[in-house]
Amino acid sequence: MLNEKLSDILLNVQKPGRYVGGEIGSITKSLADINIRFAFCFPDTYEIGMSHLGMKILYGLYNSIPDVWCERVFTPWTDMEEYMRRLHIPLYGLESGDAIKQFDFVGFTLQYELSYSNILLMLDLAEIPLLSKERTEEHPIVVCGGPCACNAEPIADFVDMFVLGEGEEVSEELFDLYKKHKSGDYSRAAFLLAAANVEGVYVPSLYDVSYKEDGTIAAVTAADGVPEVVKKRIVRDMDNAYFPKNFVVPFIDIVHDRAIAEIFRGCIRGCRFCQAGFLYRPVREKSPDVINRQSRDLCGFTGYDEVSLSSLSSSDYTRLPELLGEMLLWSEEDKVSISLPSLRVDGFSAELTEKLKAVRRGGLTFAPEAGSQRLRDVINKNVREEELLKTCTVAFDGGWTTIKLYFMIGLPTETLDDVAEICGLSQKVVNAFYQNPNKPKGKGVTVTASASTFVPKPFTPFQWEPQDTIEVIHEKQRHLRTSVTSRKITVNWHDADTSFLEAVFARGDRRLAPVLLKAHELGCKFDGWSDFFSLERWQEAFDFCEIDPAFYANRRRSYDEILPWDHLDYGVSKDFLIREHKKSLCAETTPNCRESCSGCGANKLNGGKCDAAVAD
Amino acid sequence: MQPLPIRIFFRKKGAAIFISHLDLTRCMSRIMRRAKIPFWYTEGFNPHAYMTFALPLSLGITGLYECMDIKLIEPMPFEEIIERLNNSLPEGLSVFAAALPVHKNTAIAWSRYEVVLQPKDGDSGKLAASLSEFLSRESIITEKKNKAKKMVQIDLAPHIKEYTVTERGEEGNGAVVFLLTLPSGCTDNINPHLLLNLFESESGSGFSSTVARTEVLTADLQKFV
Repeated sequence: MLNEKLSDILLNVQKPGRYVGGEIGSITKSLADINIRFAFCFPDTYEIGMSHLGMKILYGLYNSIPDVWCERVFTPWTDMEEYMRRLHIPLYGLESGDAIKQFDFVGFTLQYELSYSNILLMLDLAEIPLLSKERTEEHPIVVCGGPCACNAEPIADFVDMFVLGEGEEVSEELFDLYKKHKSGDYSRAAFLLAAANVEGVYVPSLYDVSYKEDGTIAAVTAADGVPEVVKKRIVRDMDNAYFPKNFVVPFIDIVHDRAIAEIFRGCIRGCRFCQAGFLYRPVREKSPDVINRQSRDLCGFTGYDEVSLSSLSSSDYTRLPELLGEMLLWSEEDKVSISLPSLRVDGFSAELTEKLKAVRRGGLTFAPEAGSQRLRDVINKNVREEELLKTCTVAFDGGWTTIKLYFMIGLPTETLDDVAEICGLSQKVVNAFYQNPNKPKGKGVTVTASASTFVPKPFTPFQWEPQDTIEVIHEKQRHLRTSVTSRKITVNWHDADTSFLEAVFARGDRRLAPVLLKAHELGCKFDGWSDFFSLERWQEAFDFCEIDPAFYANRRRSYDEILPWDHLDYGVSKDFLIREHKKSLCAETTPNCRESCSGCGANKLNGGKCDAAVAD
Repeated sequence: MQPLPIRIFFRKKGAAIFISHLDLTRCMSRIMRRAKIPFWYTEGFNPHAYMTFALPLSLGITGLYECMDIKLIEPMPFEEIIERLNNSLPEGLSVFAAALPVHKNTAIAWSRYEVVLQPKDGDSGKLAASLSEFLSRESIITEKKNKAKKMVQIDLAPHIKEYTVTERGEEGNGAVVFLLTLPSGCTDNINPHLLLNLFESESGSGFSSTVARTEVLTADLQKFV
């Protein structure tokens, strides 16, 4: 629904398809039937946001409620932002073209810390007051969810409420509560107070944080009548959980342009660096027949010719052969290809490759995460060198010649020798290629070792660990480069500056709010994009607010320090995380949840049930 | 059955004018799958829906006579193809005919356009006069990228096959309707924006414009079917 002002400018911006809506599967409703208007905002570009499964699920779910209309909103690229400011076009929903400031809810999904500046940018473009306390009954309720809600203290001042965990069930309860309040004498404060008593809802303004002189937290005090600890919500029954029959199918090319079927939530692995592995516990599987039906429906409704089976570690799905068998019964005839991302090194077999019959053969990617066995044990990756080499041999047999390996640098206890072993391991993969009699004839091998910078995250055993300083990371990156032993190996790494900022916000507290405000004033946006990110500008904001970012990124916490997220309960107990942390320092591994339960505590969220244990 | 070539005629307007040609091809192949049209896939290593477009349309131009060729592998009545596609197409795209192709795509030589110019100052009389003067020049020289992506000088005057300039609407809030026929197809192709941009910069007139391609014609000015 385009207004004329927009039509005039759209020919002058890059990719106008980002801003017009009207895609197949997008939902328009008649305003007369609507009680709640919800703006689902993804604080990044259309191409990134439209690739995100969580948004597709919630968009479908909200719009399945007859009197709720959910629209999509993305961050406009700078060329569009400029026009919108010049022509006074406030940020609008793609479905109606209406300004979102008149909506009931403005929701943001928090997928990565580096998108926080875009949240402020979008609120600003929407003409909604940035600070929660400055909003009145005239303004929408700003609600946030997604993984970063597990420590959203840095943005707590800008947000009216957070939904912890999985939003499917809690949203419907929230909508009902809102309708009840809206039909009476609506007061924002009364609604927020009532909402704070819905399980899974965290209203930060009702929790007061005090600090000690050393800058650590003295206490978090809940207001009267709200729970002291907020517990995350989960979907208990994956088979009966809402899953969309239809996706919005974009016109323009997006990052992941295909149907997606979710096969399970949670992860059995317990890699100690991986926040998702702890946040999404307990493990809950979907049945093959449900996944099969949902995949087929989706491909039929959308016209997609590819479906991706999504989870944190696809090869850990207990009934994978059964599922693939069912899907292959129709997928070949319908010319639909099945892709299985997130394969573990030990989950890749000749039989599986045969089943997938990948039509488009890209490179193969595996994630050993660390070069040395000792360090892989520290992070509990539980992948052995022999397994990686065996897997690569299978891949070479199957005709692959390009292998990409993901590593991290800056992991706890890491030495320069561990860093050099990244190249050592890559060399062994190269050797495995040349020693393989079945290798593709007449071709060389390319091994790319990609090293990202480790960022310690809340609710992981490494939540107390300091991040390496930027100088140390740079030294390790240099060491990595000089350790390369073959021209068949390419090493690359991610910018340490962005990982530093990510580390600050991942474990930050509410005193970072003024920094965010200042950074927004200075023009910080799209911080996840290297063409925009500027650590200097952020440093200026930190200096202005007299905040030392190293306090958040590079400081070791003690077990008895009150962490900014301690009043949030994600199921895994602190005792478990401490146990895991202590084991990591002795390079002692923990078996995966299917081998034996380590008592993380997350099953209490699911009535004591965990599908990792049931599988035996 | 041997794959049977079918020509689909459709319109592209409204928000759909912001779908680029590349995006349109992707969209159409999904639409055909959604609509369960028994279409033919190319053979080979990477099979994809067989689809050729007679004449790609530039971003931002409305298309009232767009053509796309597919091949059927099972018989299906034309009415049913039209109905199925229209039930699946997004707003702004609609199919109005399906038929066996008569002409080859290479037969296309001309396109007719309807350009509506909205003067910023509301004075359509002045704009119409200025446009007519511009078009009556003996040569209209501008620059254009040739096939080797080099900028070359080109005279547009001999390329304008026919045109009319008329005023529409009441005084003070009028528009200028500019109909013209320009070369199209694989040998010679002139985008009406080339002419409009030159006119705008040379005349200094302030206007906004919408462009619609209304017809696609063969060398002897017959409708391409």
